[in-house]
Amino acid sequence: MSAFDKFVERSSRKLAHTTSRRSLLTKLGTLVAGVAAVPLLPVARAAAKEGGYPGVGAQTTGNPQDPGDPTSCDYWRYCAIDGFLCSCCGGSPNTCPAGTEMSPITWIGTCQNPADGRAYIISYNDCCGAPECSRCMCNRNEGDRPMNRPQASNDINWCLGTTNISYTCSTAVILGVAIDD
Amino acid sequence: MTYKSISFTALLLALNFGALSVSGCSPNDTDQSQANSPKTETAPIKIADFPAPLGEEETGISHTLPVPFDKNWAIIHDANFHSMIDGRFIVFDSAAKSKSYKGTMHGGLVAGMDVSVARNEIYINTTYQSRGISGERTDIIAIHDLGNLEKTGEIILPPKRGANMPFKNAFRLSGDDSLSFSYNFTPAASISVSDMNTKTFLTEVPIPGCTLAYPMGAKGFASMCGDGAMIGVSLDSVGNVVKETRSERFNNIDDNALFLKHARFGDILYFPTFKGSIQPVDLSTDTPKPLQKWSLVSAAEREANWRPGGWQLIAGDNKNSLFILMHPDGAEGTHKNGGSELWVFDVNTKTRTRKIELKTWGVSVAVAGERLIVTNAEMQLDIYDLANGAFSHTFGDGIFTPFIVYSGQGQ
Repeated sequence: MSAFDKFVERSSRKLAHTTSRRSLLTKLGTLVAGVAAVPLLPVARAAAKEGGYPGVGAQTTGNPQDPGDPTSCDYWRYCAIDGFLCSCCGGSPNTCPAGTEMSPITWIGTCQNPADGRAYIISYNDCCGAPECSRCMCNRNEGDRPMNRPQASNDINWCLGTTNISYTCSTAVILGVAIDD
Repeated sequence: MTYKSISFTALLLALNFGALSVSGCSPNDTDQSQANSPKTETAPIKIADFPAPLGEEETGISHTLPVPFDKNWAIIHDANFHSMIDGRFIVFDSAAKSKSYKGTMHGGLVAGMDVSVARNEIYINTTYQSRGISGERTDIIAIHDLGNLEKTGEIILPPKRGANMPFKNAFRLSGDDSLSFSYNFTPAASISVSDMNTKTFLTEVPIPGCTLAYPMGAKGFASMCGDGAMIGVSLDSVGNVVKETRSERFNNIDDNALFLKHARFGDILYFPTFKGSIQPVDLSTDTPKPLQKWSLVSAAEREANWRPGGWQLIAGDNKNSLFILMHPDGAEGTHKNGGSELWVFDVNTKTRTRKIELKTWGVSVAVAGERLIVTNAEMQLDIYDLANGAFSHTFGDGIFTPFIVYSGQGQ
């Protein structure tokens, strides 16, 4: 991760903690074109409604404040994700599988946690460097915008600042609450 | 049976698999075969009806294709989403129900494509890494012969191509075919300009805050920007910027964004919006000019939330009709869902002339000659008759994620 990337990440987190989503995106857009996600597969929505993918065992975070199945497209953090779920690929909602590297920049969504009712800023960092996982394709587009607003676009492969550009899967990392209590 | 009548390939198969089956095999072999196969009625072999064997055949023959391609031919971009470094472009005849698959070219990593009919060449703008998904990155424009699909050369570009979903306007030829425009995103946005006559990279034109390239005039392009405007960039023959303009802001990205896909009739580009309008943009001068927006939906249809959706969700024919995928119950986030119906509009009268109920939910649409080609939700291609909207047949198998289908002329 370059010094510039660290700067962007720190700035993103700071902004995320202190500003509304739209304001955050506007400011981020002037810093750098954010990051995250990957190509979509529109037909993957069907799986989202089923609550799971065939041949993929269900998971739980074990934390009642973080409810749901991280291998299911309807898990609360995935409200604007587009890609293969890392939880199905050897990673987790906030970690990358072995052999991959997390993209330092990403695009951002705001999702409501059904347990505590808070709106959280979610960073959809891609994991990069191994083949496409191809499991648990999940495409949800709430808040997605075309590439002329790149920081809000999940049409972009955000494996930009990594060792190589090959996309493996997508995470959904909590950056913080969207608006402080 | 003489030695000469057994082909070399058949001999190899026999040696490798012991599977060479000829008449006169042993009773034990026959019994084994019957035991493993369902019982079927087969016509008795009557060698007397065929006193002479099939003749010997030439080896080493490959097809060539008639150029320019027939109007019904199209070029499928199968981005191969589950192994994106291995995309491909497939030439097929959308009007034929058999022998419709004509050939394929490698697409590399989520490529762009265009065709020069004048030069009989296909261009594929893509990215390779020296060790598959790792190693040294090289961005190129691969040059293929239109008549035999063989790769004849390449232009090396700065390794900055945007890594994103496939967009037609991530790679386009200029209006006069002399230049090409390749979209870069690092995340700094720029356009790599190449001379397609001399097959050389010329220069990189920054387009800060903007995306993609929409050919404008003979050698220029327009680009869609994050502030809601479009810029117009006019170039000379060696890629120098001779004029840069900016339109008024007309794209409300927050509340009713323009899709980046469009149907083009002459110099006017028709962009759909998320909530169901058409925004025409005139590129006939050196400054993009937004024209009067008009609605795709009636008040009742708006009430039912009929909205456009899909990937390449819009296409145009050569008679001022645009075709757009529509779905009911639209909402925030449904803009890539595709549609159950294809609506047809006359862009001159701004009125809907037809609705086509699709056999299978559609994700992308294309027009080739007399056919409509719909990428369906199963990622296969449903072919409809352009004139009456009747379903004709499905083209499938061996294609995985055909997000975009281009005409045989690269549009």
